[in-house]
Amino acid sequence: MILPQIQIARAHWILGALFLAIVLDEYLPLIGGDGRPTRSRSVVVPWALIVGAAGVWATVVFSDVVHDMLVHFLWGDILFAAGALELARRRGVYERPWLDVVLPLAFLSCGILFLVHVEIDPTGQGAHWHLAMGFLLIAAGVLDLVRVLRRRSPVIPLALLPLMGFALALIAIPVAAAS
Amino acid sequence: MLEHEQRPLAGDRFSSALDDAEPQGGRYATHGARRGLNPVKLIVSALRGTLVESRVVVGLGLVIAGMVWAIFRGLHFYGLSPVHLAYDLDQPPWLLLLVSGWLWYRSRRQ
Repeated sequence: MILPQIQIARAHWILGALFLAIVLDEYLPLIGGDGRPTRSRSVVVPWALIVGAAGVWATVVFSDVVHDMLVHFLWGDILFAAGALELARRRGVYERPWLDVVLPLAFLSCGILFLVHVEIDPTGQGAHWHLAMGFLLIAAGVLDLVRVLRRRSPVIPLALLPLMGFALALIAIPVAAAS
Repeated sequence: MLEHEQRPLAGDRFSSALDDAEPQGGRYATHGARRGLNPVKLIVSALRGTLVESRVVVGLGLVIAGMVWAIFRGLHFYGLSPVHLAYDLDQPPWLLLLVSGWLWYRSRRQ
């Protein structure tokens, strides 16, 4: 089954908006009851990762290119694993120090998958955009990993910038492709 | 027992710059002015207050981005039936507005 271009664009718009909501909710500070900024620990974020994983897996079904199937399948796996681990942590049923690096590693590995996608099909449609988006995710993963390992949390983590850039690119690029 | 969202995570145990930020930047700046603090410090504390209220600021930015997007690329109207309504809302300007609404909803004092 091959989806028309506009349907592919719609799927990317939703996924981009979902990702934008996730990263903004995760990294922008909340105002606590005492008036001090606190970090969000909403379970909506891991649930959104899991829903996003289901959306990415759907691409495996609808895609007509083998490497698209493979990359999206691995991408869905990473999102699902990250979502499940974060959900367990935020519900308080599983707590380990290494869980701090789950989200940064998820961003990093998704970015590497983008580069793998371009490496397999360098002449494919939007290869340069995939490259840029991969580097944005890798930058976000590295910045967030450094933040976690340094045990220091700024009011707004620097990783938010490349993550927002990635989400907006995910929304904007299919617009160009569909028009 | 703490609610799920109030439980401290391992990542929140370390010393955080969040703790240094004042509850409300504007109030802090006013107190600072009364104390006769350095203007640079006042600007920094006001900026910090803006960072604290960053959800509202980013939400406003998304509304503006959605409006600019709608003006330059247009919005399609598909109809008002449930299926068509999904098509109506599944357009970047509306999605940006929805994300903005979510952010504002989540910016309430916890």
